[in-house]
Amino acid sequence: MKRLRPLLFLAAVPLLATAQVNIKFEEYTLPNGLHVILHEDHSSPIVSQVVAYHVGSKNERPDRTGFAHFFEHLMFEGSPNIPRGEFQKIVQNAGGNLNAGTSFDNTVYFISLPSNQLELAMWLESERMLQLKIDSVGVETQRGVVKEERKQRLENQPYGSFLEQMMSHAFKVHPYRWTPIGSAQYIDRASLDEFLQFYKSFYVPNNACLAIAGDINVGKTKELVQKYYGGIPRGVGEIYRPTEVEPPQTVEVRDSVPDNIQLPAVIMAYHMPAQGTKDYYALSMLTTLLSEGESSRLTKRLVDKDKLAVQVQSIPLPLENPSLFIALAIAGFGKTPAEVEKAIQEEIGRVQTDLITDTEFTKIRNQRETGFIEKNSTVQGKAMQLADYHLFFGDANLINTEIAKFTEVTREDLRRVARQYLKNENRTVLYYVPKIENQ
Amino acid sequence: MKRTLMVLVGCALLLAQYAGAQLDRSKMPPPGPPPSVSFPDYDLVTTPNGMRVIVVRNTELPTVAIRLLIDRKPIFEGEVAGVVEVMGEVMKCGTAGRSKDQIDEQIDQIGGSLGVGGTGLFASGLSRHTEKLLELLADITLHPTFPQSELERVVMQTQSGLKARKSEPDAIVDVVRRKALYGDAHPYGEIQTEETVSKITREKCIALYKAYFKPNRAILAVVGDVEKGAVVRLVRKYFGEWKKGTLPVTTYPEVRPLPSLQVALVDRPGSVQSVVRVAQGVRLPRTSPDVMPVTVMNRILGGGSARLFMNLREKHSYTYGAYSVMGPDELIGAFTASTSVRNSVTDSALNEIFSEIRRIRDEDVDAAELVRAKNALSGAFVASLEAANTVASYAIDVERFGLPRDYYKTYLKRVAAVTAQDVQRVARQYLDPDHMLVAVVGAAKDVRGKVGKFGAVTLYDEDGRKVVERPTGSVKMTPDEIFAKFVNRVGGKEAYTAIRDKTLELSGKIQGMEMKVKTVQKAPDKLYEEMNMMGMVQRAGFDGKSGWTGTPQGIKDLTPEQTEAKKPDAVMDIYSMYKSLGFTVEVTGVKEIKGREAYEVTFTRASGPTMRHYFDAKDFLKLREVTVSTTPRGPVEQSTDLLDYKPFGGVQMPTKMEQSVMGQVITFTLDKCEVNAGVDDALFAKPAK
Repeated sequence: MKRLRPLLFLAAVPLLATAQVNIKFEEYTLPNGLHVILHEDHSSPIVSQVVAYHVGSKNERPDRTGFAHFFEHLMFEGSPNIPRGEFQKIVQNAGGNLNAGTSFDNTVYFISLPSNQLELAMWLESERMLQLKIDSVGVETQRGVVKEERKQRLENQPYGSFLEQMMSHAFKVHPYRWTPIGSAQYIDRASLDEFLQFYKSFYVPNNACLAIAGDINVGKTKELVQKYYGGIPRGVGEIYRPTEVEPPQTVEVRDSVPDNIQLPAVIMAYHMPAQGTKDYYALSMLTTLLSEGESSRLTKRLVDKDKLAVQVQSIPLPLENPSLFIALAIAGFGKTPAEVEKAIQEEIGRVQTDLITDTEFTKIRNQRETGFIEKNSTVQGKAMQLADYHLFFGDANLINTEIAKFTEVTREDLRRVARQYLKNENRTVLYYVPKIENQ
Repeated sequence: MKRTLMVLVGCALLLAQYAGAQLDRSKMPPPGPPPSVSFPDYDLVTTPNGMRVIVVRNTELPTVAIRLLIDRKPIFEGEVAGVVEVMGEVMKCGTAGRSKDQIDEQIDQIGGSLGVGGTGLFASGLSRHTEKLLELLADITLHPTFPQSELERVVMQTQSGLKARKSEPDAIVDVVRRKALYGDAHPYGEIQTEETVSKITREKCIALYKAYFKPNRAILAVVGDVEKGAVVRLVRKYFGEWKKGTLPVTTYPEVRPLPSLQVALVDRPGSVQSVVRVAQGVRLPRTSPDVMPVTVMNRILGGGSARLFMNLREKHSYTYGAYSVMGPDELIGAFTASTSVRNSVTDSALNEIFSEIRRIRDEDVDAAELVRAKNALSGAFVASLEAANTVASYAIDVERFGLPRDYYKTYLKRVAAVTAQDVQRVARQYLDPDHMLVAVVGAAKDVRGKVGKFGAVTLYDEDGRKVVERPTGSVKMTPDEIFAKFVNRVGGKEAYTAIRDKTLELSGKIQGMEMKVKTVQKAPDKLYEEMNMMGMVQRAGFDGKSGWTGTPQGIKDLTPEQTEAKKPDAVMDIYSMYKSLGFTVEVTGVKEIKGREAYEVTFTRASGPTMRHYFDAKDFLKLREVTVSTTPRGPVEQSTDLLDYKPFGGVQMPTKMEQSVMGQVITFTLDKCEVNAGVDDALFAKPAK
């Protein structure tokens, strides 16, 4: 009789056997403000070091857009001890790889190397935190490179400008109205002194998080951290963070963007709360319902059944300040943007009207869970997540616990946020149309 | 006392470390002792029906990844090139027991993913769903039904992708590289086109599936938080009914080296960059002991921040990146150097590429460079082991290619063993610069002369078909003679010149959007145009001397430049008026247009635009008109194919026009044509508002 009770109890509660994520790490802050997170993982003899600076395109002045991203390039120019052009070579020749990325909210650098080269990784990264070489030769070289990059990624790519277009249409006040790549003209106008100022203001240890994951010994690593990063002085002065608040959108915005494309596209974006909020998690689950997997609502309807689109996606843009929920679709050959928009609208309507079924609800939770676990498959992935969770939420342990915030979302929450946020007056709709010459 | 002293000394040392007194930032820190690399082990079990099952246990995460591969040699697809990929796509669109909807639902329900690609299928998800994933995979592998409607959908999507390929220079250069190196009769030289894909039928898919999907040629790799015994039990349960069989035997034509250095060029008018490949075939099976020296050699020549990169980018600023790849293959391996450079340096860049190839053959590699290359390869190998899937790939390769079982365990040793002499030897043996292929996609007008310096140039189109070219000297007709024959063909001089005005109403569809166009022409040089798209109407007029267009902001006059450019458009008969408009004409070649030979006549004048008209070489019907205009963004080419000629007022006119600009095609149909209706001059005059 005693044995039966647990079984009965279990039967009464809807079962969600969540796989546990248990990533152990140590964290502390140096006197100079640098936050350090260390995670041991001996499954492979490699180590990944990430430094995330809490500066992105939203920290820029409107007449100096593109600065943060440009700086990402400048960070490879060297130091008094690292000659120009050597930074990347040193890592590659040691058998590692490296990269960096700039977003609206932060700039992240990583170096991954065989684990007996940890000290090399620290030397390189600390050199550029302490004494990056910023001179006119470097600035000139990178100016050209960044302009080529803009051409290659944005102007030459079909639909490449969609984020830039969407942000500039949807935001009037907040710095999110421009994107990290920024405008080439402002980089050209900036003086050397401005770059030095930017470096002194933002590229300081008290504005950064260092995360190291891999085949390390925590004790030894702490010593090395002190050796290389301990002596870097804390930044002085206040770090500029924007205070603008985008006023609520009350009228739908619509526009048409001609582009060098074969197939038209529809992009719709709704204002939504910042990452980490209750409704952000509900809207994230909504995107899983709408577009993750072949059986998702938008994919099944638009791509599979009605053949209205060749591709459809919904994205809750996870940003520090209130952001956008984006749905986009590339129309199929011979289909119009209007019919694609109508179908998306109908599917949104369905979610606003009816609660989703139990089966579908279990499905999206399972999908979320798998995604959450798979993110931890590399040391680089873990290091990046640890740094991000600290930088944005002050809680690196979210790497283990954030999944709960997704699985807490109820069916009622899904319907509620669909009704509350996916309203026409809260949205911007862009049609990407093929350019016509000489007509 | 001693103990206290020890403690004091110890503290001092500790403090010294913490104070960073030992840090000399000017010195790059040396590596520590190399960590030991343990190559994860794997189990291989063969089931009664011959399936080879590889299990790699990895308990880092509670996940599983499954890959099913058919161990077969390349298939020659012939007139249905693309059928292997299409068949694979359609396989997961329905089984005897499940519709596509059910398959999609069931995968997503467990938070898994399943896909088809290359020679096999793959599935992944949380390890607690291993059984379900295997069962689904087995159902798709053993009982696919290839529904007709799904096949049609996949064919349509594939064709959309192939349309898009025509505007992607990287894809085009790969097409032409394969065609020129391997030829039509070899599987590596086969090119998918919209035409070949259109011929794929359900029967062909089923036949292909039945011929190749046999368990005794299947390798199944299962990687993750799984246990060998359980996996093998599940495989036998779900794949047990799969019946053995033999695969068809394919013979392959020998791939011979090119007789000399050759150049394959695809004209992409208006390109501001040349996309360049320098390539050759390489006889190098995976079991050859030269594979590792070749890998090291290629790393020095064309790896990250290596010789090609440092030369073409860092030293000369020709490009954003330059690199080379070189790999073994059981049929024929390949060497390919790649870069994209601005037009003006196409020849200089090629010179540098060849000079680097010659240098690595002729000169000893320096010791430091060799060590760096070996370090890079070792590091990359070690990093690759982090992914359990890589381990599975390595295990599959050992099986497929008969490599020694410890092939990857000894990888690092083999890297370390390569000497400078080895590098030079394999460079000499496998790189043959005098017999390589130079494949370029770029603006022929700018670069043909430049690439011609390296070898005989053969022109190709974007689908890898050779473009028929005859030296212009062999064309014995003058442009005026060709024009006269054209006029004759479409109705004769009398009927032709009797047309004083012409009103055309056309409808077109651009990517699903309806467009209606009306043009009214009055001899000699008046033109009125009206375009209606999605309810928006745009008008323009030209009275022989000046013109206007209607814009949302109101009526705008044409600028002097626009007026000049409008004149050739507006004249009723360009063939009698080209001289007075300032054009010179020349017969510039014989081209192949939709399978027919056509004379190309080019109109040029200083103020532009440049025009090319194509007349069928046999009956002189006009097949195509091309106009190249200069816009602020560079030259833009508009090409119009003229089809379905029908008589109107005694003169043959095209009733269907396919107009293509920058990769976009609009098809116009002539709905109505009226000649000599009597048109008032007022129509062409600028309206009041």
